[in-house]
Amino acid sequence: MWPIVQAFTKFFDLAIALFQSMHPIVGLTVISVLTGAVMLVVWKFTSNQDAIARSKSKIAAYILEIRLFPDDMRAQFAAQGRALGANFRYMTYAIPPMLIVLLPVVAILVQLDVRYQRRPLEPGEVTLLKVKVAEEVDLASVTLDAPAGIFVETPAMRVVAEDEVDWRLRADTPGEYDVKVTAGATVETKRIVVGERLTKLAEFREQSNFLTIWMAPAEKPLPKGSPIHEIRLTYPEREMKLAGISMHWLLVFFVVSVLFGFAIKGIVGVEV
Amino acid sequence: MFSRHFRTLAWVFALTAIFFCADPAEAYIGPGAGFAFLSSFMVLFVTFILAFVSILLWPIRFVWKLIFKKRPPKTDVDRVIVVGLDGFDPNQCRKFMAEGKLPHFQKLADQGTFDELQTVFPAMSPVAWSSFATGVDPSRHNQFDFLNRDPRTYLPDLASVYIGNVSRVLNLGKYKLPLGKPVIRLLRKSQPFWKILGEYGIFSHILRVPITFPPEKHNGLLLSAMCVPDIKGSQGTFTYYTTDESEVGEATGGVRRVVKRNGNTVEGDILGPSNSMTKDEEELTVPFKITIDDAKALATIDYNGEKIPLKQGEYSEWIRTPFNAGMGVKVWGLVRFYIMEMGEHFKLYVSPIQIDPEKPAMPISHPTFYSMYLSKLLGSFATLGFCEDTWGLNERVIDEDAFLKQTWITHEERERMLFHSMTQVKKGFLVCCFDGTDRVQHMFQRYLMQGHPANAKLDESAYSDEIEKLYIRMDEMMGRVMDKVKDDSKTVLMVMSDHGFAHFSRGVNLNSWLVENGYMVMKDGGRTCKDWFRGVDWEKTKAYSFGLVGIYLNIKGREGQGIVEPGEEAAALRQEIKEKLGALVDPKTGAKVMNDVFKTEEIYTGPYAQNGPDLLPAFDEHYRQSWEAAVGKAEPEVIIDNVKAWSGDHCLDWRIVPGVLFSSRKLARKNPGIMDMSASILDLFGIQRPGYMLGRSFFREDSSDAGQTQKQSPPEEREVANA
Repeated sequence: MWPIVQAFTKFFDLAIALFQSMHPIVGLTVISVLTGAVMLVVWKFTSNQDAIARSKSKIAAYILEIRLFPDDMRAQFAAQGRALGANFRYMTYAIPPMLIVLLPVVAILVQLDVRYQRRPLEPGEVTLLKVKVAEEVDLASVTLDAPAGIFVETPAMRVVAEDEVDWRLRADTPGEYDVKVTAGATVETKRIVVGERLTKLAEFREQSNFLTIWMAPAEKPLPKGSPIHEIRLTYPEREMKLAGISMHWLLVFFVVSVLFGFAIKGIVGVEV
Repeated sequence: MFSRHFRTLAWVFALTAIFFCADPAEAYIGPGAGFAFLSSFMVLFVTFILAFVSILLWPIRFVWKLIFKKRPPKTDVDRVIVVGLDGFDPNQCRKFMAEGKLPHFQKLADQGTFDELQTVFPAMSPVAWSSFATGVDPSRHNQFDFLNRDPRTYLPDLASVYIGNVSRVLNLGKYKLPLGKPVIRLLRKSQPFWKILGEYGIFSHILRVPITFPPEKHNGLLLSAMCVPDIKGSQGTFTYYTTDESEVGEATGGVRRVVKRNGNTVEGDILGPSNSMTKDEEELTVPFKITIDDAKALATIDYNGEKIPLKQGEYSEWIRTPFNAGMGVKVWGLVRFYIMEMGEHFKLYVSPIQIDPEKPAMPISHPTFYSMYLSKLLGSFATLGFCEDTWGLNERVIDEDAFLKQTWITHEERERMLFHSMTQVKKGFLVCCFDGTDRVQHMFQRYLMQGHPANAKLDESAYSDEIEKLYIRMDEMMGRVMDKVKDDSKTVLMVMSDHGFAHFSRGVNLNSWLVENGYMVMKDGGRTCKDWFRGVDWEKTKAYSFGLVGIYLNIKGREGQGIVEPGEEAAALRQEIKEKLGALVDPKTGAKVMNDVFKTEEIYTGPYAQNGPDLLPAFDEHYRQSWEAAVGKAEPEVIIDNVKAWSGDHCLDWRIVPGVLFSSRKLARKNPGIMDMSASILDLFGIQRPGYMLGRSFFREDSSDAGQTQKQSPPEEREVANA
């Protein structure tokens, strides 16, 4: 499974690399547009287009019906009830294609999330590195080796109740670094990115399972059975501003993909 | 039942789970779902806002109605439903009822009344339905025929509607942008009785009553009918594509085009309206490409981004067709395809392009969005006034089967409207007219007459039961209508027609008769002229005829090149023509052609009498104005065989083609007339008829002048005619 995720992640790396020198919103917009187009086509072929068209027509008709009988309250409320009923049927027609496109869209969103939700550390910024280990591991045996460019500011703080060891790190110089975490005979690494680049960021490495493979594609999961259960590092939230207005990347993605989908739905011939 | 509810609950649960349990980032799953979510939210929002506004406004409207609307006295009638069956003939009804083939009509007759409904003269749908709507005669509603003439030019105009161009345009390069709307004016005078109902707060549904275009405002809903044009502005223009070059030539009511078959494909263009937004006014077209699979006997029509599979002998659904006029403006039409042949030759019929009711190029309903509502709710439907393509069959570009299929498709559309409206109208008035009854009888009457000239080369027995089938089918429909109102004692149900039917086997060219008798003279001294009087010497012509109704004198000061002095000379001329024409005998049969010839004032006394013909011939059965004379032609012979499929007619002596009236409530008197309908319906709602109406309620015995359709048909005379 991991090679597939890696290939998918690589594809996004290449795509994002094209927009590396531009404002982050440019790459996000292009990906949103492409996603909107592809998902629209998928929607076309996975939904009951006739039924959706009929439902939409009926909704419009019942709303018009409310206006046709301005003096008849009974007729108006009946029309409103029918409009809501037709609306509900319309929603039910949307469920099968929604379920079908759910997985690919979530995979895309995760790829965007690891790039746009947070930003790398800037030189001088500090963060916490938390390591969770198996119960039987002696917390005193858990150590950290940081390369030049990353300074370990504090000695290890051991939280026995949580089987956790924490360090405070400071980013010194831009670059990508692997810090080494040792627990007994086991050694694992955690990537730390310092600088301004738009790149994928993994906040944690967990033991491998289907969900972590897809939901945390930026770094390889920890091997199953490892005494190290999790390595977690906190990156700051990325603030994306356009014309001085701060906006969440998901909102940009939603608006751009919906607007683009709306613009081309006639060309693609899709009922949505 | 349980499993259905269970499925519904499962869907509700799934939907809720997706929207409420998913992480916000994961809940968004693409633009399709985004739209679904947004538009559903909009629907909820709009419906709640409308509900709120309705509740808020209702007391205001109620008080306004209380103060300003008239209130009729209480009656025992809440609802009146009229089913109009155009051309439904009383003689056929009696015959089939006697044979037990119309049980529902029989039941209605037993419960209430079945009688002949006297029609007006001329006995034509636009004239008779106008009298139905207004309660007055043609000289008061100004409808004498489909066509009226422009006396200055002798050219025809539509009698019921004036459609003008936009007066001011903005020139922008090759475009001319209209600054305003074109003038569309109804030329029918007087007012329909549903306007009066509206003044009393009674809501009316008016579905496809002829001569309601453009739609007039009233308290209710209206879908226009007869004289609604197609998208080209004509009264119906079919297009026929054929690979057989021998079939190409002039066609009335349509266009024939040759197409080439290349391998297994045929390409062509659907011919739309001329582009009124450009200076060249070029014809707008939409291309189509047909791929023929001979092995499967299947054609696939690639049209406007759709692929439409179609077998020979099948109609496509209505296909929405945008004609791009430029600058982002599209004119929307509806077409049906029908493949006549896929063998040695490829033959394709394309219906007249209807105005799309969902995006109407001109208003065809009141309110304008009513047609959109019907289309969205019940699907696309034919909007053309004369939507059964009788000229297609006359010209033999379609055959009898194709015509019947088209007619019944249209009928089913109309049925859906009727039954839907019946569920909506719990109180008020509903009328729905069906035209298929008229069209089928027009086109299949020849099978009821041995040796009809139109059937000379055809199997006379092939469609001999079509008219019977038609009546039985109407009976079956009425069974369903009656079923819907059976427990409703406050509903009065009526079935009516505007006229009946007679054979039309011989065409009388009144222009040829005028030439023969020296009243019409040609420039070349000959006996014939082309359509619309091309070749007529107006300086020597005293009378002329066109349309289906009568003869006009060429009066000085009224006609553009009139030569007959008004007054004594005109009166003497009219008397002379009346006497001579009245004595016309068919040389083939020796039968008298006319029952009578009337002078205008003998029939009409209203303010628009002068707009009608000066002389009105009342043809006997089998005779009618010929097709050629109707378009202003003169031919060598006066009376010729009618060889067109259109073989039944009613444009003759009105006394021999009355309509029918079935009423669930017994009539209080005999001899009801079509003009009485409006007064009678007003009466059912407790409203007194206005003074200008000639019709009287047939639910009252005290209407001494009841049903007087015109001066020539006092009740006692009509009783004789009925007998």
